[in-house]
Amino acid sequence: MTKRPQKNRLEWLVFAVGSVLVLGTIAFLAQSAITADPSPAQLEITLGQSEPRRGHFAVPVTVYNRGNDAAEQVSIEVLLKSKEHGDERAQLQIAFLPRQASRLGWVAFINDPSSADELKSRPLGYERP
Amino acid sequence: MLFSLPMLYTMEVWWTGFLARPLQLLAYVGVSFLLLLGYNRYAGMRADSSFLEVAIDSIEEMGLGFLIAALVLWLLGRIEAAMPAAEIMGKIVVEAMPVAIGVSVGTAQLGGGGDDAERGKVGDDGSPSTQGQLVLAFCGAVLFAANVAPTEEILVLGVEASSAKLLGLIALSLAVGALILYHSDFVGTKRHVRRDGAFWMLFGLITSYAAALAASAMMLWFFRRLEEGSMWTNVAQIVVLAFPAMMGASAGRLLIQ
Repeated sequence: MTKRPQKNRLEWLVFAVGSVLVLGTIAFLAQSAITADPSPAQLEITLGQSEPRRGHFAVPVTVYNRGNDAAEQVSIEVLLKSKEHGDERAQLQIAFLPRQASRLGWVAFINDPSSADELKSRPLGYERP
Repeated sequence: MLFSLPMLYTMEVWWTGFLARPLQLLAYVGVSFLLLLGYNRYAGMRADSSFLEVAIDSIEEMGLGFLIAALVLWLLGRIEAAMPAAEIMGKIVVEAMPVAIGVSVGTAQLGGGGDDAERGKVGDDGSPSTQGQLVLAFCGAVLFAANVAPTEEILVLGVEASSAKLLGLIALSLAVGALILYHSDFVGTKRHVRRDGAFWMLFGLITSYAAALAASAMMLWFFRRLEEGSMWTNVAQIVVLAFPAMMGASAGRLLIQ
């Protein structure tokens, strides 16, 4: 028969917490392994309200990755269309965009985006890590 | 902590947290648990410890690893509540395993309990157990090479290496390993390394290097360094990483037991 390990209360507490964390992690990973379909990165871009800064206007850009694969070297282009001042383009690079995650950045324009005819955005490209 | 701090401060390791697939992370947790069991069985505890005690200690250390990794990652601003659960969990899991192994080695080496001579398993005739030394060589290789395995440098070195220099690196790894195991007076060499006869010396050297190669291949696979390269680049990377791994399998192994 195995002898009962000799431990004090603190050690048993650490063991209990440890077991919960280890089992919880394994359950979480196993569940994600079973449920997550291997869909490629799917980028979704939302633009916020432009904010006047010194000498330019900054537009917040939130990029979501709705897919189950990470994207690397994500390149985003925002196009400001204006009949009055002509078109203006701005770009944003994101090093890594994990699956189901979002990143926030800003693009800058000389002309005021709030008075522009249209503000369009699209991903230019990204790599699979 | 001492052993795992470089990994907590390396960005390639955080990236692996969200790049690795759930199954890869599960395998990683499984292998780390086996390493903990192996280390605790052969070096961490008294020789008469039962399997149950070894398992309980390993789970405790893993739990501590999770808590410490989560706390440090949060303090360093690497995890935030707004991140998706998969990203947070991934980062914590990747960092928690080296922390857990660090906790285990730290407790065994720096902790007060137990006479040094009582620790570790030896064979019936008092000679070092081959199985135990192989497990510890593997643990040492992982512990010491894990700090450089995730970095981009290994890929650069692997891609740029010439075959003659790689052969040279293999020779150097074996030579330094032999020097440490058989010609140094490091603490523990007499007790832990079989020096009786050329066969056992060659056996010990080859198995140590094999452990270093296996540990390197395993770590490079986990850090996604073997996925895109050609067979040549993959082997080159393994050989490049096996040099620090061999230091771990020889000198490191003696240090941690």
